[in-house]
Amino acid sequence: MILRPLLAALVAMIALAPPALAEPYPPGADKRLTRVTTALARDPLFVDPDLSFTLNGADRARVKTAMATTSQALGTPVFVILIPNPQESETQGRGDALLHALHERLGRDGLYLMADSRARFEVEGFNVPRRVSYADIDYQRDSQNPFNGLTVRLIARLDGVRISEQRRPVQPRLYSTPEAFGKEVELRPEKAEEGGPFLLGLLLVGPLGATVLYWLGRGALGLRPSRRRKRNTTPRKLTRPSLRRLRHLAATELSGLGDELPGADEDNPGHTYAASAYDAAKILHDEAGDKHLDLVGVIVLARQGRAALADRDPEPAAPCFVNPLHGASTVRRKTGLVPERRPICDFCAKLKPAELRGWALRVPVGSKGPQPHYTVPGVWRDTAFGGTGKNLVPRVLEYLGVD
Amino acid sequence: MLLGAFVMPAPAAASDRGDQLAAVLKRDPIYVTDHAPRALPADAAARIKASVSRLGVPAFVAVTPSLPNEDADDLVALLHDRLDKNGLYIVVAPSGTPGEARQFGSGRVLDAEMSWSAANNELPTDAGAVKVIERFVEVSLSGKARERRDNRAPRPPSRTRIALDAHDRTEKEAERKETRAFAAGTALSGVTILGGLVLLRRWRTRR
Repeated sequence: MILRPLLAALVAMIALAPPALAEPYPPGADKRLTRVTTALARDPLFVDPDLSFTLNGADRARVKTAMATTSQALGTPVFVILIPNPQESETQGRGDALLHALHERLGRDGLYLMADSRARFEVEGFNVPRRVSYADIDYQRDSQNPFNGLTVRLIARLDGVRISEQRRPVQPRLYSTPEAFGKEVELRPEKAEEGGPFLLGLLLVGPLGATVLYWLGRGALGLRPSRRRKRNTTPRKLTRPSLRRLRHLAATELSGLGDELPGADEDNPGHTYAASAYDAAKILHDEAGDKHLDLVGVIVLARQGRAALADRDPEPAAPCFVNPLHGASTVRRKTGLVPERRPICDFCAKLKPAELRGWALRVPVGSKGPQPHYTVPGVWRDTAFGGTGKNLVPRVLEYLGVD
Repeated sequence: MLLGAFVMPAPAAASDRGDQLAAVLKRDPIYVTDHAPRALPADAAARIKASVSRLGVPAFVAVTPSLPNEDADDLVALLHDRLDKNGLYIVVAPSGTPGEARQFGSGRVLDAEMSWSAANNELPTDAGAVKVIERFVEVSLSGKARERRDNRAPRPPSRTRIALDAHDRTEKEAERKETRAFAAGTALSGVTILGGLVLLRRWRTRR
């Protein structure tokens, strides 16, 4: 039963005890705080000996009058402190921290106004019924002689608080405490934040970069469809195609025709020609071996077959005489390559006769090397791949020994 | 007298401060301010007294915050004028810079100004007044003040410089790690998407 009142008294004592200093000072480091608070208890105007030259007797009397007027208006004490507060001080040169430390030690609410060794002001109102905040005059001083007009500035600042907006008295808080002794220049090591950059690369830069590279690559390699279309209007030169190239083209064209024939309408006027061309081309392909011109013949027959089906044409156009691999002919004219007029394609039609020789198909003949196809004796020179008449298929079958 | 009347007087502020410091030094020739406990250890006055006593000349030392437009050299002259005693005069800020040492009168020659310059250059800017005075005494007694002043090695870095350098190192390391993470993320998605696009293109062209 006796314990309860004792406990209550203990709790009350703890609750009423002044708050502990946020940063305990090492022994001997708070000497000047004790010195200043002792002096302030006797006189609310404290002028440190180091700044004693800044106010003479008359100045001090004027400042004290202003302090008394302000104190009376506010209903609270007014303290004015002139003191150097270098970076090496216990409060790290922070005026607000010094005023809070003095208020805490003095234990008296009121208006605290401080001027430091550069005549900069700091003001704190502890439970003062006025809005106490930053004012321009706190820093407005003669940069060459900062203490010039100090008395006037101090009085003006006190008057400023006195006539400022009234408000409910509050206890200001220190937004941060000075660093602990010996820890003034400790900097937090910079930590890497890898998540953000990784996600930025993963979700934005990587996909964007890949897309840009892809299109650049396509542009550089000429893979874009528009360029393919452009190439179709200008036949690839193919003047000296390799056997491998011809075999690949022949197989592709032949299988293309082979795929189209079964589904083709038998009433299609071009169907008969396409079927016979396919038969001839198929046998020719099987027998071609290493013969370049036979493979060219396969390509021509297969293309003619496909053109007959597509255009419903029983007599598809003969291939370009200059180079049958250019495709179907559109005009017949003198070429300068042979005495007779021959069918040629659009592209070759725009060239001068002298230029045509450079575009002519050449195939290797024994030890002579590549020769123009129209100089190589045989069925292909005779028929000009269909350019001399309309009997290409029968002539090819005859050449193959098929009746 | 007339001539004296035309001599430019010292600025009132410096003069007042000189009077104030002179009054303090009259009571105790070693004065250490209480405004800078972060730069001055509790036993600063005792250490300075022990140090300068080795010089064998009277020494007047004021460790005091420097004020705007105040020259330590002027203060030293003022203090000598007010105290009117020969000996070594030192006025120095708590951090050790700025400061001034000058010897007045005859007796043992200390090369005070050269020794002070050498001591300052051999210590970092934030060494503190106690260490600067201890080094000053050591240089003075070495008899090599001129050599040590002229043969300057690079000044040791201050605690702030050391902390900043260490911070810069951690910052660079962090930057490297972030760059690596960025590159890894970019490569991971970039290579995957580029490969996919190329494969898709090839598949389409084969059809």
